[in-house]
Amino acid sequence: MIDRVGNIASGALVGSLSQLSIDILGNLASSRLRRVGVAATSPTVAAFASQYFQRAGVSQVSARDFSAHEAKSHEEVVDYLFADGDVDTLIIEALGDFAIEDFDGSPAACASLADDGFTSTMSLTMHSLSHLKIQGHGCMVLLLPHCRVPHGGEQTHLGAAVVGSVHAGLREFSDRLGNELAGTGVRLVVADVPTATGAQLEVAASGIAEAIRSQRALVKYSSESKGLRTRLRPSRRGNQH
Amino acid sequence: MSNSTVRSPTDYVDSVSVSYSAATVNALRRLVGNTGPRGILARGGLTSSGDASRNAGGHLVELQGNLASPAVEWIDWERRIARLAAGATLAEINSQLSKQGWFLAAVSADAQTTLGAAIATDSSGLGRGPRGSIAAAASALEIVDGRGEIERLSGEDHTGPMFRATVAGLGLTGVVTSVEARITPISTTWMKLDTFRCPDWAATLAQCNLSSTTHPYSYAHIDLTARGDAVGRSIVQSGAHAGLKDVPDTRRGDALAFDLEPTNPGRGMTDRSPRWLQRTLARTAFSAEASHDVGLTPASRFFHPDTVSVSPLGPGRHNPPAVRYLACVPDDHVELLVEILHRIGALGCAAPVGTLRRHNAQSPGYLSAIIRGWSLEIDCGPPSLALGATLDELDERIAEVGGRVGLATDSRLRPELLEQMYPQLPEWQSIRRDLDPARVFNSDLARRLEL
Repeated sequence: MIDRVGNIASGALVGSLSQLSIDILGNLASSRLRRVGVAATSPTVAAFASQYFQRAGVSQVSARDFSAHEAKSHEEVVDYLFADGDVDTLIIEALGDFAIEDFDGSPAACASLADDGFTSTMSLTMHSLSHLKIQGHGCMVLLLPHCRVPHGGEQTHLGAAVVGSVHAGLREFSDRLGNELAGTGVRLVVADVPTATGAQLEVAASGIAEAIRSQRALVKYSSESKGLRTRLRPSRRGNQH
Repeated sequence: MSNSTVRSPTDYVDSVSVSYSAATVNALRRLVGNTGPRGILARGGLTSSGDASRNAGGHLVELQGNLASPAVEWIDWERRIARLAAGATLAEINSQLSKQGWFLAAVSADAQTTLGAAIATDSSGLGRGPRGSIAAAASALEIVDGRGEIERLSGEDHTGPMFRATVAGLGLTGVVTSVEARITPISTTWMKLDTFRCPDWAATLAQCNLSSTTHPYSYAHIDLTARGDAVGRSIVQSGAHAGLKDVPDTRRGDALAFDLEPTNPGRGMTDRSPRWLQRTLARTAFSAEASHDVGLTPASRFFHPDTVSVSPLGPGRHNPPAVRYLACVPDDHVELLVEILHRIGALGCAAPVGTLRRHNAQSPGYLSAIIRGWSLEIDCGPPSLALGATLDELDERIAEVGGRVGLATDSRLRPELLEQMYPQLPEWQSIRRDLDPARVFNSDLARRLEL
């Protein structure tokens, strides 16, 4: 349970995870963070996250990988994250590990990417939501990192277009989700993270962690990318309680 | 690149619970037998908003009907004991008792807390000996335990393990349905009040020590706006029940009335007053020269200054408090409280007025914060990580000297320190397993501290 001064005791990461989601939870970590669960689509990321939090002194870390394609397994994946008790902050990342160099632009690749991003994120979100509603508290973070294309070619790259459309759909979904969560005790942070690297990502991770601590019912980040300048702006959509 | 700017946490989003009420013991037993996976908790009108009164995703139950009325079932005049409804508030009970010339032997500050909740959290009383805590004034309890069974727990000598686990048991061993408590005879509901203005910490301690032997009830309002040498300055309020001869003729007609309505509405601060105004008024009140005033005051105002807010010192609190910090230290480590005043004062987030109490005896409850020594209660807010870090360090210092941080109002203590502060925790957990093997009773505090 997030305590009154903003410390979390348990956190979970699920989805196509990137360094960003790990950094966000790392920013929230304190001596109070006792339990972390990780379910990543990449076994390498799952192993890395596990080591990261063990080194950070978290006493109970569990990690596994899963297939985004197998929607039937998602319920079991989410059950795994909640198996040891309440989860204070759950970060769901969509297409965080998308690699532009591995994308061949074929119709099958586009469909697979859209399916991985949209269907699996929605499936994981809804399964997680049912757990969070039962526990009556907690923060769900929907993390939508933009696709990064070398030399700023996001506007023209087909893979970036698919990722962008997936995120657009999830943003629309999250708007409705905000209404769904009213009165449940569950808070929602939607983080639309711009094309960013290095220091910019650190700023993003820190800002999103701060939004999670803010204990507001709904926080939505928008981003605007102006060359090298990146700005994250929180906007309060009103307190549901 | 500009950093993102998120406002610091100012509003606390409530968790969600489902509320029920129970009007009879059988109804309560049915609720206990049919609770969901998140458990049930009797909340009892607690307003502290600590995690002990919350049960996210679970059930809350309020006692009503036969469990709250009549507030006073019977009075044993010889033994000076009354059987009281656990669902009645302290104000209702004292209102009923005073009509018959009696008063609860121990009264805590929150008038709207039910007696059952006051027992379960072992609210700190204002007096010495059996008046030092609500639990110490209880002589027997009836509870509905986690198996739905009715248990009668005798606390005549305060040695019964189940009794000691249930008082200050935070509602996790059972729901208190009725209480036999010590009462004290009174001839009026007025208090003879001695008010001492103490210019510094040494004077405050000396006066509190003296008052704890000369008056049945005493406490000190501590100025949390003071800095430097003035840290610890206070107004010590010492009271005793007034006799009929002490009360003016015009008041003798209703000398046994116990009224929570402010006697001087419109004066003084309310909890909605701006913080700067609260601070200015408090500073003005405390900065007067050392003095000793004698007077009469209604018992309601003496015992419940937060409810009857007619004094500049009355509210002085966040309502509801963001973080209510109750630090209890043994006699020989009272100076640690000065360090707490300095550290929290430096953060600038404390409410203008804190409360210092002297405790002459340890409470019988295994998980009671009240030990022989001193307690200091401070409201802080808004919550921040800096506040949390400071309180974490203070927790460790308190644990090192054998002190305790109160659990009833806690919302951020680390579980690692719990056993050091409460060495009888294993005994309490063992009895809880007997009384509530399925952990039907649960709370946010129990989950956070892994009780």
